[in-house]
Amino acid sequence: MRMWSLTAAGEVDLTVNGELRRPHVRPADTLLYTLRKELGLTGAKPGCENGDCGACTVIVDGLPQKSCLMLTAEAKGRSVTTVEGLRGAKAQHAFLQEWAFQCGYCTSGFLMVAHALQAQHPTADDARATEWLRSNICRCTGYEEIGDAVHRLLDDRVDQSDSLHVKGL
Amino acid sequence: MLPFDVQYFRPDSLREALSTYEELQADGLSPMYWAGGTEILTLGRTLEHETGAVVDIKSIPELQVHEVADGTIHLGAARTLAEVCDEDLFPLLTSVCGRIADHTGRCKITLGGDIAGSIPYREAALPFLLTASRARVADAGGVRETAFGDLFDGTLHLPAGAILVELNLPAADAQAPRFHHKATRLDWIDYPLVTIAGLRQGGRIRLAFSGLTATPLRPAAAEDALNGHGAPEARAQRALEAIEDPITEDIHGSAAWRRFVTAGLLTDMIADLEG
Repeated sequence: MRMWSLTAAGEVDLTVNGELRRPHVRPADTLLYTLRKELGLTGAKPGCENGDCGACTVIVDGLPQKSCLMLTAEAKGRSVTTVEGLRGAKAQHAFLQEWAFQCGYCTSGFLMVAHALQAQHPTADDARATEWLRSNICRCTGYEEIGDAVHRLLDDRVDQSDSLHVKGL
Repeated sequence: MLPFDVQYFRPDSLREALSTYEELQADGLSPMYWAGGTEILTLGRTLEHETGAVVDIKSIPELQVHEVADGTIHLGAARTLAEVCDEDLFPLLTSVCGRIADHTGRCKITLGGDIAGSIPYREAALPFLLTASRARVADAGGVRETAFGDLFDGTLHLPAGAILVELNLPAADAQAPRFHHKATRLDWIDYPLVTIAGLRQGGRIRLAFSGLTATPLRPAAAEDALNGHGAPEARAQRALEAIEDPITEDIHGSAAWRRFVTAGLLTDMIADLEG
């Protein structure tokens, strides 16, 4: 079998949120760029674009990945989940119930880490949860509430009957 | 994204990777091997790295080995640091890798990438400097195995186009009493002010540093001084004075501060490994 390559801009098959997508990709494009500019999935946020802030975190094959640190070409053949693909996951309810957001820019990145953590380590202890959450930065410094939301998620105290729409706004 | 055009290749075998690299080199594309790719992306963004082609080697089976066989631990160079930590085949390596970057970053950064990269800290090399570790390297002549210390003097020296395939070590070495501490300027996640790693084998402490000098080192004279006689504080001080390389002075800390912190860490290491 001939090795796969991408030597010039062209269409690449990607599995994003369970769907096969075929965006136009330059080999130099990051996954973050393709998700936002080619697929219209703007939940992954550009922050530092240097792997420091975590605002662009998505889940690839079950693990959190900073989409600014992955070429789109690398994602071919792998399963990518963005915040748009969570579709009412427990992590989203937990963040809502703990008001674990202020400006909201970092929220999708934190949600992806929390969702992956729960999936990979449903009984994660505080040390593991802290280690995973250290990958992301909240410039509003809302860490207390974010930590509470992750504890609620891991303790299985999430009320999923809540509407994800914030009432009164 | 990378601010220059690049071609992407994903070979499935060592042979394919080596020949692809050679062809791209002949075409003048200055190729780079890509595993985690984090350093190429971050330094490429600021044009500190430039390449016309990347050869993604993480799908090659030999680079994904992780097993203990016949008393030897084998770790493929494309295992991510997160995988190395989860698999925990070499506890000192687990400890060291668990403090490199952040968890999400460790899901991408590879063992070989940390050691072969141009960012000078290369902390993952420290445990291998302290053990009878060997490196498997592939080039046009085939795959050969070399003592890790013969390839790494703070920087990994591979012939152009060669691939670091795996690192291996005697499983018994991995169980020796260990010490590791990473001191940073302020944040938990940062490059090291000083990272110190130690193992006690045959009644002697072996030690290696990152961050203290320009590149990682296992200083033989310092190790002798540390294993000499006297109070732990005095031995730590003599070990520090025996380091010939200049102590780093940079934004993370002055040389004097690094010496002070390192003396304390060496004292702790003696207490921990001999206590």
